Amino acid sequence: MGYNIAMLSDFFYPQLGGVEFHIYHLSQKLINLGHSVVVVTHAYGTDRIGVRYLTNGLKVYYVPYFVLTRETTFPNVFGTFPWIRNILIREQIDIVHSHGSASSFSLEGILHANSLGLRTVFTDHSLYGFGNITSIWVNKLLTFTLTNTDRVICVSNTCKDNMIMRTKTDPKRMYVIPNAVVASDFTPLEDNDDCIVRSKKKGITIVVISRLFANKGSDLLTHTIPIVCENHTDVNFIIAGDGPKYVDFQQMIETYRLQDRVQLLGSVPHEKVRDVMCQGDIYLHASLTEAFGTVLVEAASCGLLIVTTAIGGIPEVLPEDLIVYADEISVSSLVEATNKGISTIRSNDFDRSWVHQEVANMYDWSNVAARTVEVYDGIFEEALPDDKDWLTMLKRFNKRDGIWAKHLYILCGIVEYLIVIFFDWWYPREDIEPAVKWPTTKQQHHQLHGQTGIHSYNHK
Amino acid sequence: MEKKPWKRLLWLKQDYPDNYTDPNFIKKAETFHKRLNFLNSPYKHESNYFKVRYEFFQFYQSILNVSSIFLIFAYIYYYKQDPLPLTIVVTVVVSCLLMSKKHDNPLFVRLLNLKSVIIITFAMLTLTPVLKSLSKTTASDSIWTLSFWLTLMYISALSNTKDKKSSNVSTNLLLAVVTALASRLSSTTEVFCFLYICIQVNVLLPNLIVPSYLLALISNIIVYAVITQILGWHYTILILSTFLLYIIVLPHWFIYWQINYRMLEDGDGRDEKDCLITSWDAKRPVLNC
Repeated sequence: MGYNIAMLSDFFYPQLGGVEFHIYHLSQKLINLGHSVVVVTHAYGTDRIGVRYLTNGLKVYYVPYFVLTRETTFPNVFGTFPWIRNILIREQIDIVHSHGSASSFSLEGILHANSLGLRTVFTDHSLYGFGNITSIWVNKLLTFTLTNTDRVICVSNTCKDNMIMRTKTDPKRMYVIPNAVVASDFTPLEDNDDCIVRSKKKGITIVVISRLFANKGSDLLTHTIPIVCENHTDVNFIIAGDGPKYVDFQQMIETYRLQDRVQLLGSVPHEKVRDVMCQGDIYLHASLTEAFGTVLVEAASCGLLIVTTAIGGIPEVLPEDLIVYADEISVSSLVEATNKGISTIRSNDFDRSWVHQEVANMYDWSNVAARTVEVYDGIFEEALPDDKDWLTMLKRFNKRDGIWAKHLYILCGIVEYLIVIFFDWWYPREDIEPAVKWPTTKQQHHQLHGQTGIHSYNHK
Repeated sequence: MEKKPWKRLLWLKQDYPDNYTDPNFIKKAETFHKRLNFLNSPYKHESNYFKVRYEFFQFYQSILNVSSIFLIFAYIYYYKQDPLPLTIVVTVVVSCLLMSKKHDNPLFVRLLNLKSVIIITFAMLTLTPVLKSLSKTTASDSIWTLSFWLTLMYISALSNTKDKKSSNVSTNLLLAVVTALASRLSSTTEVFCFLYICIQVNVLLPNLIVPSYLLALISNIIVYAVITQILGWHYTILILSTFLLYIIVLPHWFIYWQINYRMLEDGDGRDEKDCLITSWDAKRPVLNC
């Protein structure tokens, strides 16, 4: 018997990104394993609102809610309670799994689920510092939320270390389960035509696919690219992605007259990313902060050699023979690393034939789903009877953080429980009609057998 | 058979549970938290408290100085007193201080200083009628509002660092405040005296005298006596208690902030704690080419 799981996040389709893909692919694999999954997110635009079904009966609730900035809903601790309570009860949810610490929707969802006595899991996808007001705000909110969360999943060891420092959560409750890629979507060029194209093509192409933001290292790139172009006459660049630094790249091209050498593609739809990657030999990554770096795995899966800065979780992600690291976060060492990458490609030292299969074995969503289910199982195995007791949870708040914060936490907790009591009176659980579940493949099989059983019995 | 040691790699399938934590990191985090402890904090020392309180006091003292602008203005404008005697007294005091300070300089430099003083004084005399009539047509309420905001800007532009040459933004803002107020005065003599006293008290005096508790006491007595005279003792008590709150309670709060947040940031880069706390921030790119 599978679990009824609700995935909560502000970030989901139609928006695209690491968190969104993670939720989608994980949900699909969980459904294949016989669990029932619904996704709860906020409404996108005026059009995508209400309940939708995606592939395999993945049900998505688009809740109408006020969006503050960059697709994050307005944080107010209690506001989402009526919707989330209704959905969780309707869908008879056992486990609430939230994603993304910048998403107030997911953090509030965990609080509500805890108050309703459900099991909760949180997955974090990014790294946060300590020195600016956004980080402090997010860290405090997260400390509050994670107090009563059963399990935390981080996408890399670095991410987990960061989480331990930020929220002082017990490391035993924290799991490291990396992202994955759909390897079949990122295959290297294979058919004969492609090979002919590649052999005809002269020189080396370096690909950059990234949102062009300062924290993705676009300043490093705009300084590195002209130097590499000057050193090697047969090296060309393809840059895909958009962002506030787009203009800097245009200016770089004009200043150094690189119109023939550097192609600026602008933003590329996700399904075309593979085609762009396959035009190149080297993938250049200059990010200044990175929790996991899914794009590196995608590029490696396409058979590209990777040149990157060694920051955050990147050194954990791929074996060293697929990557050339820049020693420092500087233009000179990035140029040096790129030169090394170019000479490796030139001397045919880099055997790309086996890379795709290797990466496919390393990162697979089925594996991620299986490990996640283990986490879910662990919750129920190690659960204590009073885990979700309101008093126990208040006691845990009392042990957290500084003198001001902890009293605020307790106050929020008490208000939340009053709201729960109010809603239990105003809109009793019994009045909420349970939703009919989409039959999973296993259930269909089971039902079919059951029916034949009844038929044969009637026959007799 | 012994287990292979754990490696910090995601792509490698290892025989460890997913919630296994890097023991090196746990050790690092423990030492870090020990250092972050309140009792061990270098900001906890009493000497730090005195230092912080002294800096708070200095700021208070400079606000007290600024308030003298308004006291002098009230003396001339509201009480309609003749500003000339006061100007002479202040000028004599400041000149004496200047002479005693600079007597170790050679005669030539002293004469040069005297020359620039005379030039500035005459320039001010020439400017006085202009300042008087400059914003004459503006309503008094607008002048009060304007001078209030300009004073706030002046206070925020004040700098306590004496060692390096500070910008003249604060002096210019002071002149702007005085100019705005000067248009309310009735004669050019009054405008000139007002300008002259304000510059001496706010620009020259703080540079001439070494701050000491005796001087602070004298300036406090003068300001509070005048406030009591003008506004009554209710206001004196109110302002005095605000000052006491500021000088006794606020430094503690500031130190609390230092212990809890500043600890996370400062460090000389060699320190382990420093690396641990900043290792997750976006790195600063070095654009050497």
